[in-house]
Amino acid sequence: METLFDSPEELREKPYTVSEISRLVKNTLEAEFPSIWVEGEISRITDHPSGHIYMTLKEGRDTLDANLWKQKRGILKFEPEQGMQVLVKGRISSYPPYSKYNLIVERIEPAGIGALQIKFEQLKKKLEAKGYFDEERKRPLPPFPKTIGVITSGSGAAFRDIAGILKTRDPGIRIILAPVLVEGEKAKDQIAEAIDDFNRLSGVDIIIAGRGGGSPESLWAFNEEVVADALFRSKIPVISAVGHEIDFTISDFVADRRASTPSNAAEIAVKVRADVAHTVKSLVGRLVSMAQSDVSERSNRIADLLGRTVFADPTRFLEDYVKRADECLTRITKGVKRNRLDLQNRFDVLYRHLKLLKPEDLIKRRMEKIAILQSRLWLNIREAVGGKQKRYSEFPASLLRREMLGALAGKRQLIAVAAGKLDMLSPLKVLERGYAIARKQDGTIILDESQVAEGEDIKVRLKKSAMDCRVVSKERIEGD
Amino acid sequence: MAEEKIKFEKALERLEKIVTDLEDGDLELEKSLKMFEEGIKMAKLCQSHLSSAEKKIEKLVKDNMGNVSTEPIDEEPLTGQDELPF
Repeated sequence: METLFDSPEELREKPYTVSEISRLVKNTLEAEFPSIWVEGEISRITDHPSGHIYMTLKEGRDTLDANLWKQKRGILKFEPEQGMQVLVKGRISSYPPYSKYNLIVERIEPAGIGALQIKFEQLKKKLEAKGYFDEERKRPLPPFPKTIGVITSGSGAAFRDIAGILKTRDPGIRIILAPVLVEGEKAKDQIAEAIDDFNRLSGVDIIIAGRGGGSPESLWAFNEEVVADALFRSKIPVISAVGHEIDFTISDFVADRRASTPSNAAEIAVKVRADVAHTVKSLVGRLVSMAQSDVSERSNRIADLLGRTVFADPTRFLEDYVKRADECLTRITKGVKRNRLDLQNRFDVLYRHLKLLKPEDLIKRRMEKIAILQSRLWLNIREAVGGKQKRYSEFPASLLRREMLGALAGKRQLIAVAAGKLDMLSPLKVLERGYAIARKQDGTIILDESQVAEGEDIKVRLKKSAMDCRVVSKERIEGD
Repeated sequence: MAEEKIKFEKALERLEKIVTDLEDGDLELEKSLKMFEEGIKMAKLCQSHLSSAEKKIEKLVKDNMGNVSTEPIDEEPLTGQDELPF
Protein backbone atom coordinates (compact mmCIF):
# COMPACT_ATOMS: atom_id res chain seq x y z
CA MET A 1 0.00 0.00 0.00
CA GLU A 2 1.29 3.42 -0.84
CA THR A 3 1.37 6.05 1.92
CA LEU A 4 2.66 9.57 2.26
CA PHE A 5 5.80 8.52 4.00
CA ASP A 6 7.01 6.03 1.49
CA SER A 7 6.32 8.19 -1.58
CA PRO A 8 9.40 8.73 -3.73
CA GLU A 9 11.12 12.13 -3.23
CA GLU A 10 10.69 13.29 -6.78
CA LEU A 11 6.93 12.96 -6.48
CA ARG A 12 7.04 15.86 -4.00
CA GLU A 13 8.15 18.14 -6.82
CA LYS A 14 4.99 17.43 -8.69
CA PRO A 15 1.64 18.59 -7.24
CA TYR A 16 -0.66 15.91 -5.95
CA THR A 17 -4.07 15.71 -7.34
CA VAL A 18 -6.82 16.04 -4.74
CA SER A 19 -7.78 12.46 -5.20
CA GLU A 20 -4.19 11.36 -4.88
CA ILE A 21 -3.58 13.18 -1.63
CA SER A 22 -6.95 12.15 -0.24
CA ARG A 23 -6.15 8.50 -0.90
CA LEU A 24 -2.62 8.80 0.43
CA VAL A 25 -3.88 10.37 3.65
CA LYS A 26 -6.47 7.66 3.98
CA ASN A 27 -3.85 4.95 3.40
CA THR A 28 -1.43 6.59 5.80
CA LEU A 29 -3.99 6.86 8.56
CA GLU A 30 -5.17 3.32 8.14
CA ALA A 31 -1.64 1.97 8.12
CA GLU A 32 -0.65 3.94 11.19
CA PHE A 33 -3.75 3.32 13.32
CA PRO A 34 -5.13 -0.03 12.33
CA SER A 35 -6.41 -0.86 15.82
CA ILE A 36 -6.43 1.57 18.71
CA TRP A 37 -8.32 2.30 21.87
CA VAL A 38 -9.61 5.82 22.35
CA GLU A 39 -11.21 7.15 25.49
CA GLY A 40 -13.55 10.08 25.38
CA GLU A 41 -16.92 11.52 26.20
CA ILE A 42 -19.77 11.11 23.74
CA SER A 43 -20.68 14.73 22.94
CA ARG A 44 -23.10 13.96 20.15
CA ILE A 45 -24.72 10.74 18.97
CA THR A 46 -27.02 10.10 16.00
CA ASP A 47 -28.78 6.82 15.44
CA HIS A 48 -29.25 7.21 11.71
CA PRO A 49 -32.24 5.60 9.94
CA SER A 50 -29.73 3.79 7.72
CA GLY A 51 -28.67 1.79 10.81
CA HIS A 52 -25.28 3.45 11.19
CA ILE A 53 -24.47 5.28 14.39
CA TYR A 54 -22.54 8.54 14.16
CA MET A 55 -20.84 9.80 17.28
CA THR A 56 -18.55 12.63 18.21
CA LEU A 57 -16.09 11.94 21.00
CA LYS A 58 -14.63 14.86 22.79
CA GLU A 59 -12.08 15.76 25.35
CA GLY A 60 -12.11 19.44 26.28
CA ARG A 61 -12.16 21.35 23.01
CA ASP A 62 -10.90 18.45 20.89
CA THR A 63 -13.24 16.14 19.04
CA LEU A 64 -13.10 12.93 17.03
CA ASP A 65 -15.85 11.56 14.89
CA ALA A 66 -16.55 7.90 15.37
CA ASN A 67 -18.78 5.80 13.14
CA LEU A 68 -20.34 2.50 14.11
CA TRP A 69 -21.52 0.82 10.93
CA LYS A 70 -24.81 -0.99 10.86
CA GLN A 71 -23.13 -4.39 10.47
CA LYS A 72 -21.22 -3.83 13.73
CA ARG A 73 -24.18 -2.87 15.91
CA GLY A 74 -24.14 -6.37 17.37
CA ILE A 75 -21.05 -5.53 19.42
CA LEU A 76 -22.98 -3.05 21.56
CA LYS A 77 -23.34 -4.38 25.12
CA PHE A 78 -24.96 -1.18 26.29
CA GLU A 79 -26.74 1.86 24.85
CA PRO A 80 -24.21 4.66 24.26
CA GLU A 81 -25.57 8.00 25.33
CA GLN A 82 -24.56 11.60 25.06
CA GLY A 83 -22.26 12.63 27.91
CA MET A 84 -21.14 9.06 28.53
CA GLN A 85 -17.44 8.39 29.02
CA VAL A 86 -16.51 5.54 26.73
CA LEU A 87 -13.59 3.48 25.48
CA VAL A 88 -13.75 2.86 21.79
CA LYS A 89 -11.68 0.43 19.83
CA GLY A 90 -11.28 0.79 16.10
CA ARG A 91 -9.18 2.08 13.23
CA ILE A 92 -8.64 5.61 11.97
CA SER A 93 -9.73 6.11 8.44
CA SER A 94 -10.63 8.88 6.07
CA TYR A 95 -13.46 9.28 3.60
CA PRO A 96 -11.98 10.91 0.50
CA PRO A 97 -15.19 12.66 -0.60
CA TYR A 98 -15.03 14.67 2.63
CA SER A 99 -11.37 14.14 3.53
CA LYS A 100 -12.28 14.03 7.15
CA TYR A 101 -10.73 11.41 9.29
CA ASN A 102 -12.75 9.47 11.77
CA LEU A 103 -12.70 6.40 13.96
CA ILE A 104 -14.34 3.28 12.56
CA VAL A 105 -15.74 1.62 15.70
CA GLU A 106 -15.23 -2.07 16.27
CA ARG A 107 -15.87 -2.19 19.99
CA ILE A 108 -17.26 0.19 22.54
CA GLU A 109 -17.11 -0.07 26.32
CA PRO A 110 -18.04 2.21 29.13
CA ALA A 111 -14.81 3.82 30.33
CA GLY A 112 -13.40 3.04 33.78
CA ILE A 113 -14.30 -0.61 33.91
CA GLY A 114 -13.59 -0.73 30.25
CA ALA A 115 -10.05 0.45 30.75
CA LEU A 116 -9.56 -1.98 33.55
CA GLN A 117 -10.96 -4.72 31.38
CA ILE A 118 -8.32 -3.94 28.77
CA LYS A 119 -5.64 -3.96 31.40
CA PHE A 120 -6.97 -7.23 32.72
CA GLU A 121 -6.99 -8.84 29.32
CA GLN A 122 -3.49 -7.61 28.57
CA LEU A 123 -2.07 -8.84 31.86
CA LYS A 124 -3.87 -12.14 31.56
CA LYS A 125 -2.35 -12.67 28.13
CA LYS A 126 1.09 -11.73 29.38
CA LEU A 127 1.01 -13.94 32.46
CA GLU A 128 -0.45 -16.82 30.55
CA ALA A 129 2.48 -16.56 28.15
CA LYS A 130 4.84 -16.60 31.13
CA GLY A 131 3.28 -19.85 32.29
CA TYR A 132 1.71 -18.42 35.44
CA PHE A 133 -1.55 -20.27 34.84
CA ASP A 134 -0.08 -23.65 33.89
CA GLU A 135 -1.90 -26.44 35.57
CA GLU A 136 1.34 -28.38 35.99
CA ARG A 137 2.80 -25.84 38.38
CA LYS A 138 -0.21 -25.88 40.66
CA ARG A 139 0.44 -27.78 43.81
CA PRO A 140 -2.06 -29.98 45.56
CA LEU A 141 -3.18 -28.67 48.91
CA PRO A 142 -1.84 -30.58 51.87
CA PRO A 143 -4.75 -32.75 53.03
CA PHE A 144 -4.26 -32.13 56.73
CA PRO A 145 -2.94 -28.61 57.26
CA LYS A 146 -2.31 -27.38 60.79
CA THR A 147 -1.70 -23.75 60.05
CA ILE A 148 -3.57 -21.47 57.69
CA GLY A 149 -2.31 -18.03 56.76
CA VAL A 150 -5.09 -15.63 55.81
CA ILE A 151 -4.41 -12.51 53.80
CA THR A 152 -7.38 -10.17 53.89
CA SER A 153 -8.77 -7.17 55.61
CA GLY A 154 -8.68 -7.38 59.36
CA SER A 155 -11.98 -5.62 59.55
CA GLY A 156 -14.01 -7.22 56.80
CA ALA A 157 -16.54 -9.99 56.89
CA ALA A 158 -14.25 -12.19 54.85
CA PHE A 159 -11.89 -12.93 57.73
CA ARG A 160 -14.78 -13.56 60.16
CA ASP A 161 -16.24 -16.01 57.65
CA ILE A 162 -12.95 -17.76 57.06
CA ALA A 163 -11.93 -17.97 60.71
CA GLY A 164 -15.42 -19.03 61.77
CA ILE A 165 -15.57 -21.87 59.29
CA LEU A 166 -12.01 -23.00 59.98
CA LYS A 167 -12.66 -23.11 63.73
CA THR A 168 -15.92 -24.92 63.29
CA ARG A 169 -14.39 -27.55 61.09
CA ASP A 170 -11.28 -28.04 63.19
CA PRO A 171 -10.88 -26.23 66.50
CA GLY A 172 -7.23 -27.28 66.58
CA ILE A 173 -6.38 -25.36 63.44
CA ARG A 174 -3.92 -22.50 63.78
CA ILE A 175 -4.98 -19.32 62.01
CA ILE A 176 -2.62 -16.47 61.29
CA LEU A 177 -4.06 -13.31 59.87
CA ALA A 178 -2.01 -10.98 57.74
CA PRO A 179 -4.15 -7.87 57.89
CA VAL A 180 -3.93 -5.93 54.66
CA LEU A 181 -5.77 -3.25 52.81
CA VAL A 182 -7.71 -5.02 50.10
CA GLU A 183 -8.50 -1.99 48.01
CA GLY A 184 -6.94 1.32 47.21
CA GLU A 185 -3.49 2.28 46.11
CA LYS A 186 -1.57 0.34 48.74
CA ALA A 187 -3.58 -2.85 48.54
CA LYS A 188 -1.60 -4.63 45.84
CA ASP A 189 1.75 -4.10 47.55
CA GLN A 190 0.46 -5.13 50.96
CA ILE A 191 -1.09 -8.29 49.58
CA ALA A 192 2.11 -9.20 47.71
CA GLU A 193 4.20 -8.48 50.78
CA ALA A 194 1.97 -10.60 52.98
CA ILE A 195 2.37 -13.54 50.63
CA ASP A 196 6.13 -13.19 50.84
CA ASP A 197 5.99 -12.77 54.63
CA PHE A 198 4.06 -16.00 55.10
CA ASN A 199 6.69 -17.74 53.04
CA ARG A 200 9.34 -16.49 55.44
CA LEU A 201 7.40 -17.65 58.46
CA SER A 202 7.81 -21.35 58.95
CA GLY A 203 4.92 -23.67 59.53
CA VAL A 204 2.25 -22.19 57.27
CA ASP A 205 0.60 -24.95 55.26
CA ILE A 206 -1.90 -23.05 53.17
CA ILE A 207 -2.44 -19.35 52.42
CA ILE A 208 -5.89 -18.00 51.75
CA ALA A 209 -5.76 -14.64 49.98
CA GLY A 210 -8.94 -12.77 49.23
CA ARG A 211 -11.72 -10.48 50.18
CA GLY A 212 -15.47 -10.32 50.15
CA GLY A 213 -17.57 -9.25 47.21
CA GLY A 214 -17.49 -5.73 45.82
CA SER A 215 -17.46 -3.73 42.62
CA PRO A 216 -15.01 -4.87 39.95
CA GLU A 217 -12.85 -1.86 40.76
CA SER A 218 -12.73 -2.75 44.44
CA LEU A 219 -11.46 -6.24 43.62
CA TRP A 220 -8.78 -4.77 41.43
CA ALA A 221 -5.81 -5.37 43.70
CA PHE A 222 -6.16 -9.06 42.93
CA ASN A 223 -5.70 -8.30 39.25
CA GLU A 224 -2.36 -6.61 39.79
CA GLU A 225 0.84 -7.99 38.44
CA VAL A 226 2.76 -7.59 41.74
CA VAL A 227 0.20 -9.81 43.40
CA ALA A 228 0.40 -12.31 40.56
CA ASP A 229 4.19 -12.35 40.87
CA ALA A 230 4.03 -12.93 44.64
CA LEU A 231 1.54 -15.74 44.14
CA PHE A 232 3.76 -17.26 41.50
CA ARG A 233 6.79 -17.18 43.81
CA SER A 234 5.00 -18.54 46.84
CA LYS A 235 6.31 -21.87 48.07
CA ILE A 236 3.17 -22.30 50.09
CA PRO A 237 0.06 -23.32 48.16
CA VAL A 238 -2.39 -20.44 47.89
CA ILE A 239 -6.15 -20.44 47.66
CA SER A 240 -7.48 -17.37 45.95
CA ALA A 241 -10.82 -16.26 47.33
CA VAL A 242 -11.93 -13.01 45.80
CA GLY A 243 -15.46 -11.72 45.76
CA HIS A 244 -18.27 -13.92 44.60
CA GLU A 245 -18.66 -16.97 42.44
CA ILE A 246 -18.93 -14.88 39.26
CA ASP A 247 -15.83 -12.78 39.88
CA PHE A 248 -12.67 -13.96 38.23
CA THR A 249 -9.37 -12.26 38.98
CA ILE A 250 -5.80 -12.74 37.86
CA SER A 251 -5.15 -14.12 41.35
CA ASP A 252 -7.69 -16.84 40.70
CA PHE A 253 -5.74 -17.96 37.67
CA VAL A 254 -2.32 -17.86 39.31
CA ALA A 255 -3.25 -19.35 42.68
CA ASP A 256 -3.02 -23.08 43.19
CA ARG A 257 -6.70 -23.21 43.84
CA ARG A 258 -9.62 -20.87 43.28
CA ALA A 259 -12.36 -20.62 45.81
CA SER A 260 -15.64 -19.05 44.83
CA THR A 261 -15.88 -17.13 48.11
CA PRO A 262 -13.78 -16.71 51.27
CA SER A 263 -16.05 -19.17 53.08
CA ASN A 264 -15.53 -21.66 50.32
CA ALA A 265 -11.76 -21.22 50.69
CA ALA A 266 -11.99 -22.20 54.34
CA GLU A 267 -14.00 -25.28 53.41
CA ILE A 268 -11.49 -26.27 50.78
CA ALA A 269 -8.51 -25.76 53.09
CA VAL A 270 -9.55 -27.72 56.12
CA LYS A 271 -11.39 -30.99 56.56
CA VAL A 272 -13.99 -31.36 59.25
CA ARG A 273 -12.14 -32.74 62.21
CA ALA A 274 -15.03 -34.97 63.15
CA ASP A 275 -14.88 -36.55 59.69
CA VAL A 276 -11.18 -37.16 59.97
CA ALA A 277 -11.65 -38.48 63.48
CA HIS A 278 -14.34 -40.75 62.14
CA THR A 279 -12.02 -42.02 59.43
CA VAL A 280 -9.32 -42.72 61.99
CA LYS A 281 -11.81 -44.32 64.32
CA SER A 282 -13.17 -46.62 61.65
CA LEU A 283 -9.64 -47.58 60.63
CA VAL A 284 -8.84 -48.39 64.24
CA GLY A 285 -12.04 -50.39 64.43
CA ARG A 286 -11.08 -52.34 61.35
CA LEU A 287 -7.58 -52.80 62.71
CA VAL A 288 -8.78 -54.14 66.04
CA SER A 289 -11.42 -56.40 64.58
CA MET A 290 -8.91 -57.58 62.03
CA ALA A 291 -6.44 -58.42 64.77
CA GLN A 292 -9.16 -60.14 66.78
CA SER A 293 -10.39 -62.19 63.89
CA ASP A 294 -6.81 -62.96 62.94
CA VAL A 295 -6.05 -64.19 66.42
CA SER A 296 -9.28 -66.12 66.68
CA GLU A 297 -8.76 -67.63 63.26
CA ARG A 298 -5.31 -68.73 64.22
CA SER A 299 -6.41 -70.09 67.58
CA ASN A 300 -9.21 -71.94 65.82
CA ARG A 301 -6.69 -73.46 63.52
CA ILE A 302 -4.55 -74.48 66.48
CA ALA A 303 -7.55 -75.90 68.28
CA ASP A 304 -8.51 -77.68 65.13
CA LEU A 305 -5.05 -79.16 64.80
CA LEU A 306 -4.96 -80.15 68.46
CA GLY A 307 -8.29 -81.83 67.97
CA ARG A 308 -6.90 -84.13 65.32
CA THR A 309 -6.51 -87.78 66.38
CA VAL A 310 -2.76 -87.63 66.26
CA PHE A 311 -2.72 -85.19 69.13
CA ALA A 312 -5.83 -86.40 70.89
CA ASP A 313 -4.54 -89.98 71.19
CA PRO A 314 -1.04 -90.36 69.87
CA THR A 315 -1.12 -94.17 70.35
CA ARG A 316 -3.93 -94.42 67.84
CA PHE A 317 -1.55 -93.09 65.33
CA LEU A 318 0.52 -96.23 65.90
CA GLU A 319 -2.43 -98.59 66.06
CA ASP A 320 -2.29 -99.50 62.45
CA TYR A 321 1.34 -100.34 62.63
CA VAL A 322 0.88 -102.37 65.79
CA LYS A 323 -2.00 -104.20 64.16
CA ARG A 324 -0.01 -104.97 61.11
CA ALA A 325 2.99 -106.06 63.15
CA ASP A 326 0.73 -108.32 65.20
CA GLU A 327 -0.75 -109.80 62.10
CA CYS A 328 2.65 -110.51 60.67
CA LEU A 329 3.78 -112.10 63.91
CA THR A 330 0.69 -114.27 64.05
CA ARG A 331 1.15 -115.36 60.49
CA ILE A 332 4.81 -116.14 61.08
CA THR A 333 4.03 -118.16 64.19
CA LYS A 334 1.21 -119.95 62.46
CA GLY A 335 3.41 -120.72 59.51
CA VAL A 336 6.18 -122.05 61.65
CA LYS A 337 3.73 -124.14 63.65
CA ARG A 338 2.05 -125.49 60.59
CA ASN A 339 5.37 -126.33 59.09
CA ARG A 340 6.50 -128.12 62.16
CA LEU A 341 3.20 -129.89 62.43
CA ASP A 342 3.44 -130.95 58.82
CA LEU A 343 6.90 -132.30 59.31
CA GLN A 344 5.84 -133.99 62.51
CA ASN A 345 2.86 -135.51 60.78
CA ARG A 346 4.88 -136.67 57.87
CA PHE A 347 7.47 -138.08 60.21
CA ASP A 348 4.80 -139.82 62.23
CA VAL A 349 3.24 -141.35 59.13
CA LEU A 350 6.59 -142.49 57.84
CA TYR A 351 7.54 -143.74 61.23
CA ARG A 352 4.35 -145.74 61.47
CA HIS A 353 4.91 -147.07 58.00
CA LEU A 354 8.41 -147.94 58.93
CA LYS A 355 7.17 -149.63 62.05
CA LEU A 356 4.68 -151.57 60.01
CA LEU A 357 7.48 -152.57 57.69
CA LYS A 358 9.62 -153.57 60.66
CA PRO A 359 12.12 -156.08 59.22
CA GLU A 360 12.39 -157.96 62.50
CA ASP A 361 8.66 -158.66 62.30
CA LEU A 362 9.06 -159.82 58.75
CA ILE A 363 11.97 -161.90 59.74
CA LYS A 364 10.05 -163.15 62.73
CA ARG A 365 7.01 -163.94 60.63
CA ARG A 366 9.17 -165.66 58.05
CA MET A 367 10.94 -167.60 60.76
CA GLU A 368 7.61 -168.58 62.29
CA LYS A 369 6.45 -169.68 58.86
CA ILE A 370 9.71 -171.58 58.46
CA ALA A 371 9.23 -173.14 61.86
CA ILE A 372 5.70 -174.16 60.97
CA LEU A 373 6.87 -175.57 57.67
CA GLN A 374 9.72 -177.39 59.42
CA SER A 375 7.46 -178.87 62.00
CA ARG A 376 5.03 -179.95 59.29
CA LEU A 377 7.88 -181.46 57.41
CA TRP A 378 8.96 -183.33 60.43
CA LEU A 379 5.43 -184.48 60.99
CA ASN A 380 5.21 -185.74 57.45
CA ILE A 381 8.51 -187.42 57.76
CA ARG A 382 7.51 -189.00 61.05
CA GLU A 383 4.23 -190.14 59.60
CA ALA A 384 5.96 -191.51 56.62
CA VAL A 385 8.67 -193.02 58.73
CA GLY A 386 6.15 -194.16 61.38
CA GLY A 387 4.20 -196.26 58.87
CA LYS A 388 7.33 -197.87 57.63
CA GLN A 389 8.52 -198.45 61.18
CA LYS A 390 5.32 -200.26 61.89
CA ARG A 391 5.70 -202.28 58.74
CA TYR A 392 9.25 -202.94 59.47
CA SER A 393 8.96 -203.47 63.24
CA GLU A 394 8.42 -207.09 62.89
CA PHE A 395 11.50 -207.30 60.71
CA PRO A 396 14.79 -208.00 62.34
CA ALA A 397 16.76 -204.96 63.01
CA SER A 398 19.40 -205.75 60.48
CA LEU A 399 16.83 -206.40 57.93
CA LEU A 400 15.14 -203.34 58.88
CA ARG A 401 18.30 -201.54 58.66
CA ARG A 402 19.06 -202.88 55.27
CA GLU A 403 15.57 -202.20 54.20
CA MET A 404 15.85 -198.77 55.55
CA LEU A 405 19.15 -198.17 53.98
CA GLY A 406 17.88 -199.52 50.72
CA ALA A 407 14.80 -197.32 50.95
CA LEU A 408 16.95 -194.42 51.82
CA ALA A 409 19.21 -195.07 48.92
CA GLY A 410 16.18 -195.39 46.70
CA LYS A 411 14.89 -192.18 48.03
CA ARG A 412 18.24 -190.55 47.58
CA GLN A 413 18.30 -191.57 43.98
CA LEU A 414 14.84 -190.34 43.51
CA ILE A 415 15.82 -187.04 44.98
CA ALA A 416 18.87 -186.91 42.79
CA VAL A 417 16.79 -187.64 39.74
CA ALA A 418 14.30 -185.03 40.83
CA ALA A 419 17.10 -182.63 41.46
CA GLY A 420 18.56 -183.41 38.07
CA LYS A 421 15.19 -182.85 36.52
CA LEU A 422 14.86 -179.64 38.42
CA ASP A 423 18.29 -178.67 37.27
CA MET A 424 17.31 -179.36 33.75
CA LEU A 425 14.34 -177.09 34.18
CA SER A 426 16.49 -174.12 35.17
CA PRO A 427 16.61 -171.71 32.27
CA LEU A 428 20.31 -171.49 32.59
CA LYS A 429 20.52 -175.17 32.00
CA VAL A 430 18.30 -174.73 28.96
CA LEU A 431 20.70 -172.11 27.67
CA GLU A 432 23.53 -174.46 28.44
CA ARG A 433 21.95 -176.76 26.01
CA GLY A 434 22.17 -174.09 23.24
CA TYR A 435 18.84 -172.44 23.56
CA ALA A 436 18.64 -168.68 23.50
CA ILE A 437 16.18 -166.14 24.86
CA ALA A 438 15.11 -163.40 22.53
CA ARG A 439 13.82 -160.19 24.04
CA LYS A 440 12.44 -156.99 22.75
CA GLN A 441 14.26 -153.79 23.63
CA ASP A 442 11.96 -153.35 26.59
CA GLY A 443 12.85 -156.73 27.89
CA THR A 444 9.70 -158.60 26.87
CA ILE A 445 10.49 -162.17 25.91
CA ILE A 446 9.62 -162.82 22.32
CA LEU A 447 7.47 -165.95 22.07
CA ASP A 448 6.04 -165.36 18.68
CA GLU A 449 7.19 -163.72 15.45
CA SER A 450 4.11 -161.52 15.63
CA GLN A 451 5.71 -159.65 18.54
CA VAL A 452 8.40 -158.18 16.39
CA ALA A 453 8.61 -156.25 13.21
CA GLU A 454 11.12 -156.65 10.51
CA GLY A 455 14.14 -154.43 11.11
CA GLU A 456 13.45 -154.25 14.84
CA ASP A 457 16.40 -154.48 17.12
CA ILE A 458 16.15 -157.25 19.65
CA LYS A 459 18.39 -158.64 22.37
CA VAL A 460 19.41 -162.27 22.41
CA ARG A 461 20.69 -163.88 25.54
CA LEU A 462 22.95 -166.91 25.38
CA LYS A 463 24.28 -168.79 28.37
CA LYS A 464 27.26 -166.65 29.00
CA SER A 465 26.81 -163.82 26.52
CA ALA A 466 24.36 -161.36 25.00
CA MET A 467 23.90 -160.12 21.52
CA ASP A 468 22.12 -157.17 19.95
CA CYS A 469 20.41 -158.47 16.83
CA ARG A 470 18.11 -157.19 14.15
CA VAL A 471 15.15 -159.03 12.76
CA VAL A 472 15.92 -159.39 9.09
CA SER A 473 12.86 -161.32 8.22
CA LYS A 474 10.33 -163.42 9.98
CA GLU A 475 8.07 -166.21 9.12
CA ARG A 476 5.72 -168.50 10.87
CA ILE A 477 6.64 -172.15 11.01
CA GLU A 478 3.56 -174.35 11.34
CA GLY A 479 3.74 -177.56 13.31
CA ASP A 480 3.62 -178.85 16.83
CA MET B 1 5.98 -27.48 56.18
CA ALA B 2 4.97 -28.42 59.64
CA GLU B 3 6.66 -31.53 60.97
CA GLU B 4 3.63 -32.66 62.94
CA LYS B 5 1.37 -32.43 59.94
CA ILE B 6 3.62 -34.70 57.93
CA LYS B 7 3.46 -37.10 60.78
CA PHE B 8 -0.29 -37.04 60.81
CA GLU B 9 -0.61 -37.50 57.08
CA LYS B 10 1.97 -40.27 57.05
CA ALA B 11 0.41 -41.84 60.10
CA LEU B 12 -3.02 -41.85 58.52
CA GLU B 13 -1.66 -43.21 55.25
CA ARG B 14 0.31 -45.87 57.11
CA LEU B 15 -2.71 -46.76 59.20
CA GLU B 16 -4.83 -47.17 56.06
CA LYS B 17 -2.16 -49.30 54.43
CA ILE B 18 -1.80 -51.48 57.50
CA VAL B 19 -5.53 -52.04 57.79
CA THR B 20 -5.94 -52.94 54.11
CA ASP B 21 -2.84 -55.15 54.19
CA LEU B 22 -4.13 -56.96 57.24
CA GLU B 23 -7.53 -57.35 55.64
CA ASP B 24 -6.14 -58.54 52.32
CA GLY B 25 -3.08 -60.50 53.18
CA ASP B 26 -2.49 -63.88 54.60
CA LEU B 27 0.36 -62.62 56.72
CA GLU B 28 2.57 -64.49 59.08
CA LEU B 29 1.50 -64.20 62.67
CA GLU B 30 4.66 -62.39 63.65
CA LYS B 31 4.28 -59.91 60.81
CA SER B 32 0.62 -59.29 61.45
CA LEU B 33 1.27 -58.73 65.15
CA LYS B 34 3.99 -56.24 64.29
CA MET B 35 1.70 -54.48 61.86
CA PHE B 36 -1.06 -54.40 64.40
CA GLU B 37 1.28 -52.80 66.90
CA GLU B 38 2.38 -50.26 64.34
CA GLY B 39 -1.22 -49.59 63.39
CA ILE B 40 -2.12 -48.84 66.99
CA LYS B 41 0.85 -46.50 67.20
CA MET B 42 -0.26 -44.71 64.04
CA ALA B 43 -3.81 -44.47 65.33
CA LYS B 44 -2.54 -42.87 68.56
CA LEU B 45 -0.54 -40.35 66.54
CA CYS B 46 -3.62 -39.48 64.53
CA GLN B 47 -5.76 -39.17 67.59
CA SER B 48 -3.30 -36.94 69.36
CA HIS B 49 -3.42 -34.66 66.36
CA LEU B 50 -7.17 -34.68 66.36
CA SER B 51 -7.41 -33.93 70.03
CA SER B 52 -5.18 -30.85 69.80
CA ALA B 53 -6.62 -27.98 71.83
CA GLU B 54 -8.34 -24.99 70.30
CA LYS B 55 -5.82 -22.40 69.24
CA LYS B 56 -5.97 -18.65 69.51
CA ILE B 57 -6.04 -16.69 66.32
CA GLU B 58 -2.74 -15.00 65.62
CA LYS B 59 -1.65 -12.20 63.40
CA LEU B 60 1.41 -11.71 61.35
CA VAL B 61 3.71 -8.96 62.64
CA LYS B 62 6.92 -7.59 61.29
CA ASP B 63 9.61 -5.68 63.17
CA ASN B 64 11.74 -2.83 61.85
CA MET B 65 14.32 -5.28 60.60
CA GLY B 66 11.66 -6.97 58.49
CA ASN B 67 11.59 -10.14 60.62
CA VAL B 68 8.21 -11.77 60.62
CA SER B 69 6.58 -13.40 63.62
CA THR B 70 3.11 -13.87 65.03
CA GLU B 71 1.22 -12.71 68.07
CA PRO B 72 -2.19 -13.66 69.40
CA ILE B 73 -5.09 -11.34 68.74
CA ASP B 74 -8.49 -10.86 70.28
CA GLU B 75 -11.09 -12.97 68.70
CA GLU B 76 -13.80 -10.39 69.21
CA PRO B 77 -14.00 -9.62 65.52
CA LEU B 78 -15.25 -13.15 65.01
CA THR B 79 -18.40 -12.25 66.82
CA GLY B 80 -18.47 -8.48 66.89
CA GLN B 81 -18.49 -5.93 64.13
CA ASP B 82 -15.73 -3.78 65.65
CA GLU B 83 -12.59 -3.08 63.77
CA LEU B 84 -9.46 -4.91 64.72
CA PRO B 85 -6.95 -2.83 66.70
CA PHE B 86 -4.36 -2.39 64.01
